[in-house]
Amino acid sequence: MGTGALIALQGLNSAVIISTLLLVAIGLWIIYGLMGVLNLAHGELLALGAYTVVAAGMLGLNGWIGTLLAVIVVGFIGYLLERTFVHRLYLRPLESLLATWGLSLIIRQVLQLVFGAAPRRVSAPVTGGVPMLGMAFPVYYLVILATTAIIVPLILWLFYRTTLGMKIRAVLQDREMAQCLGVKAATINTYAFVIGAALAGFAGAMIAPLISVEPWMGSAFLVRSFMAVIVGGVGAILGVVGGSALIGGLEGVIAFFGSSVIAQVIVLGLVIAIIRFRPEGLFTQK
Amino acid sequence: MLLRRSLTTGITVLIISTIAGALGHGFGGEAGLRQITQYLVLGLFAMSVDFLWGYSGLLSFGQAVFFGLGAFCYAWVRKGTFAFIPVLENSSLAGLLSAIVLPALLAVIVGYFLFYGKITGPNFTVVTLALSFLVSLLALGWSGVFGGYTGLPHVPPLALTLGNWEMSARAGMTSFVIVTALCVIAAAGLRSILATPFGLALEGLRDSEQRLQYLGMNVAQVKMVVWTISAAVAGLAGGIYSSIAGYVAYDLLGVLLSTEAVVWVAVGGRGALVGAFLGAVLVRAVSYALSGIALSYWMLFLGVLFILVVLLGSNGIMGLVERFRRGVPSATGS
Repeated sequence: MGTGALIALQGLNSAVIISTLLLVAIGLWIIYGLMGVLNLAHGELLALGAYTVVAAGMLGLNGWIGTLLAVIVVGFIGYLLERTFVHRLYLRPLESLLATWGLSLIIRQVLQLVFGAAPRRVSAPVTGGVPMLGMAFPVYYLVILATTAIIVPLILWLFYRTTLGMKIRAVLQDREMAQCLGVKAATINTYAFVIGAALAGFAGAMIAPLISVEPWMGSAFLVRSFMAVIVGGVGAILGVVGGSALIGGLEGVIAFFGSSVIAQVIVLGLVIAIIRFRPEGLFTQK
Repeated sequence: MLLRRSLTTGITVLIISTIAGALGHGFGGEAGLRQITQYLVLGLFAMSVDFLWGYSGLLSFGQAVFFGLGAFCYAWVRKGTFAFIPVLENSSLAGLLSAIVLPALLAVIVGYFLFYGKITGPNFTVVTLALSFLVSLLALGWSGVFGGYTGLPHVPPLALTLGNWEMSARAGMTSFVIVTALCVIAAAGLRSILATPFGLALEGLRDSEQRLQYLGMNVAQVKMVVWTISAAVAGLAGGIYSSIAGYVAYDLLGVLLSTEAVVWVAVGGRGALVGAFLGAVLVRAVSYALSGIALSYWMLFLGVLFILVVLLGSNGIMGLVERFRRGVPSATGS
């Protein structure tokens, strides 16, 4: 295998990392950027998505159905959470941190009680490889890339081209004014939270075959997707895309030379250094 | 005023420690006393969190990085890792000093980027969370230095030599007395810092950062100082902890301990050092009692505590004490 092929393969691997990260980060960004709730249980929503696929597999269901179930189940859990207590937390940033962290501990413990602490393996819904540059590139990787390429523009369309998206942006900009104009802010928030949760569930289902599914798998994704959001800037969705590309790309490149833990630590250091000099994020125009 | 406040705080900590120690000894004998001594050290750790969060409004989810680093520093010095440096040759005092200095140094470096980068509010909290998460991962991976999953066992207890006088904290009672004394001194010390003009600036920081800036204060600098002091206290607590527990591992640096400390403070009452101290001892004692029933529900218990603290919206035990005090007019009028 030539150097060129190796680099191309590395590039594709990085693209997969970036795609999965982007799916998680967009959900986090919707809830944080739009509603001011930094959802520390976001990683656990992802874990719930992954475990839904595990449970579906135990019931003998197809992987695709498992993924669909993950979106529905986690979206519904998101709905329940929003209605029962997250809606009390809007615009109370510190309280929302404490409460959602408590929530994440509870979800982790419940997952551990139900499924056990041992890591689970999920097989990908499609197997096989596409011959590419003299080696087999897994089809499932291509599925992830394709799905992200569909989902992200879909989210953009939802936010910038639909009435719901307009209402969400209105509530974000000026909650009171939007309410005066007849937008039901509480309902809009519920929608946004459910969309964010469903995205996390979907990301979890997509990632499940690539990693080992554990009750505490969410923490790593929470940390990474938060870094993506903050380094890109909370202002616009394109910031999240840029941030994910930067974080995921760097991780991929550094992990190629060393361990993935070292890669994450270096990336965190870089992120902190970047924020020192560009607090508003790299991809936000001021 | 300054003296009286720090005295009151110190004496209250002394009373709490004594009662807790007596209860521990009564229920569990020597082992119970040792257990309580560990909780008191965690109480000291909680006070460092309260100093940062309760008084200055900086909510860190990564305080265990400093606590854990302090614990490892003491263990390294005592186990002779730094023996090539003559001063650090296996003495308890050097161990504790390094447990204060190294975390403080780390705090200065991290703080420079965080505070001058104007990372505030929730972003600050999550960056500290990320720090704690990754540092514990790093420690887990770097097993040559941090001992990996098994950690570093057999950390020697405190042993101080002053001239002919020798003291070793091998006995439960000795270490209890030393820890209590340190907690009292630290509590009184932190309280006296809070009573100075700098302490008032901290409260200003919590209530309105912007207004503090308008008054001409260098906000980033104030934050650096409080962050470093709090890291040094957390490091000291970590150093003592490892001398008592006799064992350190990567999870002492982790997110779970960092956030557990936040719960202690929230349960005890933010902005009251005594409350934080009491919160740590109480929550640990209750979770110990619960772990006797069902070990695996511990995280569930912690999670529920987090949510209750927010939903009830009161200021923990100290909030209740305050309400009680206001309800009953005091005769002295103080």
